[in-house]
Amino acid sequence: MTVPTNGTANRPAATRLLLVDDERDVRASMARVLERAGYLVRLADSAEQAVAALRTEDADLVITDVIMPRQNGVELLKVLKRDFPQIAVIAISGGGNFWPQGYKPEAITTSAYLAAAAQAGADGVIAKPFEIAELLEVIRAVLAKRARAP
Amino acid sequence: MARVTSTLASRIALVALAAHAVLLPLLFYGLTHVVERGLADQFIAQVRGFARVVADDFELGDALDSAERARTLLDSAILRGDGVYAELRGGGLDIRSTLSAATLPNPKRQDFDLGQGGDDVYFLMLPIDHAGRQVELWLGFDEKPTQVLITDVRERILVALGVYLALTLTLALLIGRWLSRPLTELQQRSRRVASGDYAVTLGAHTSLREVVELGQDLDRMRGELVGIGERLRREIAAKEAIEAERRTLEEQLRRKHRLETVGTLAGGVAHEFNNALVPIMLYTESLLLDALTDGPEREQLEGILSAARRARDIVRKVLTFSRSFDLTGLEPIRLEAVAEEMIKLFTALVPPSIRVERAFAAETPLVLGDAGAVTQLLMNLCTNAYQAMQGGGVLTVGTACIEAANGPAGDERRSLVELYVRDTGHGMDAATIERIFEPFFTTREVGTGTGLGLAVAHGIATHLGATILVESAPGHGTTFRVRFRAMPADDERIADAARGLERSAG
Repeated sequence: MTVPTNGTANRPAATRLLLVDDERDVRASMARVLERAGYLVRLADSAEQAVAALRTEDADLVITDVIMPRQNGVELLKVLKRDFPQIAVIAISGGGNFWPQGYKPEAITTSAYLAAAAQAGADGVIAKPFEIAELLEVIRAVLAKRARAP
Repeated sequence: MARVTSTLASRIALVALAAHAVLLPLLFYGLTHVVERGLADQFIAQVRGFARVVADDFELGDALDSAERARTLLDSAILRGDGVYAELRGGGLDIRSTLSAATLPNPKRQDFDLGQGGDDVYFLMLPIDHAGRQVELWLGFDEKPTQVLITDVRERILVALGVYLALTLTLALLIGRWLSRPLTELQQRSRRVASGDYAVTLGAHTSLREVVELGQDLDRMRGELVGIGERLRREIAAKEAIEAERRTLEEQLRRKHRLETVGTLAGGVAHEFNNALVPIMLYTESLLLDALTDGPEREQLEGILSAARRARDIVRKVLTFSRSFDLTGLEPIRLEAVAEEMIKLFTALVPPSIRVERAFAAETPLVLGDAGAVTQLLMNLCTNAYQAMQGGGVLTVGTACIEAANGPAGDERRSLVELYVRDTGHGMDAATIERIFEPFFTTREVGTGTGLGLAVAHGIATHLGATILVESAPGHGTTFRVRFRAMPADDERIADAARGLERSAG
């Protein structure tokens, strides 16, 4: 398994990530892995907090959970696409039956949520749970795509 | 007895008998009276005529002048006229023929009819007036021959009437038989109709108009009844079919609802599990990356990671159970081809005690599906079958074409293609069949099966637009039938797939 453990040295400026998830353990474990990979990580436990955080300080990439209380990930995605179109977004979901409003009740699976997120404009999707390599690979691919795009 | 006397023939005979019971005595007494009277009158006329002649002899002759001559004339009267008695009385005379029966007393009075006096002798007296002398001539004649003749004639009449009665009764019975024969025939035919043989025509071989017309009327009724019966049978069959379909639909709906409920619950649990697995996997991996040596800690961390991966895989399987496929991504497949590939793989995995047989129907239409998904579905069904046949057995994978009944092209009821997996295993009871597709439902010991195989199979079938049916009974094996809707032969996607194949071949 090859994981960049000292990515910071190779980058002129560290990529700034905003991680949005309502579950503390998920946030903490992902933050540890991402920081270890050399990313600058900020955390938000809700969509509202995420938007507030972005208004104070910009980010290169937002990684958001889809299923969250109050405003869900798909709704956050719509706000980001409208207000912060320059920021790349990756949606993560563990599925479940707490479907976002407007989506069919049968869309209770991870892939259905991620499909909904992709439709709402997510640049990448990833199903929970994932391994470190999978997470980093998706982030790398999304950032590379953004870099190629004008 | 009542049965015998209630037949038409015996009724006619009884009526004839009753009529003759009144008529015959009258006839008998009438006839014997006439004959008796005739014979008696003839006898009386005869003896009286003869007596007159004798009286004339006395009156006109001179026999009365001498007792001797008178006795001679009396004797000759007895001899000539079969008499038994002759006497001259009065006028100072009392001469009795010596030929008169000695035992006879002197008659006191004369008889006027046969049988009077109770002495079997017909006495008569003729007054004779000869030369101023008044004499009574008494003559007696034997009545017996005439009475014997009368008795004889009476007996003959009785015998004749008896023969007549016997002939009449026989004739009555024969007429009764003849009349009841067509009725019996009609009755036998009616019974056959009543017992369900509606093809029998009601009628009888007879020229009796009433019976012929009765047969025609009954036959019209039979026609009506056959029509009504046929209509009822059709209606009942239709109702039964509707009822059976309704029950099947209800059953399917109920099962679907429960599976949806279970699926929803599973989805909720899956969400929690997936979130919980994130920190477990990420922290473990981080620790593994930090670990510098290959000590026992590393081994334990790898154990945690592998267990977490296993947990992740189980959750994904649960979700497959209720996952929605995108049907537009499906392509035309031939079920036999997919099954053949799966069988090759499966045969290599099971012990030789399991015989795998193919029963593919010829020329089944293509169905819309996904080769990978169908392989997985079939593999799960076959695994289940194999596990039901621990002592060995025959596993049959087959296909069948089910033609839709009068469904127009493009109709929902168009033809189905069935893929079935049959085993000769222990079978299942109704309670097990009821729950067989529920996730985590397993009849095997804990740890030997995930309880997800059939749930996943059901999920795949449902999302391929197919229905899955189970037939099983304890001790009689199990058959799973997966029914796909056949693609219409003119579906564009078939042509597309064919073009794709040509391109890849070129």
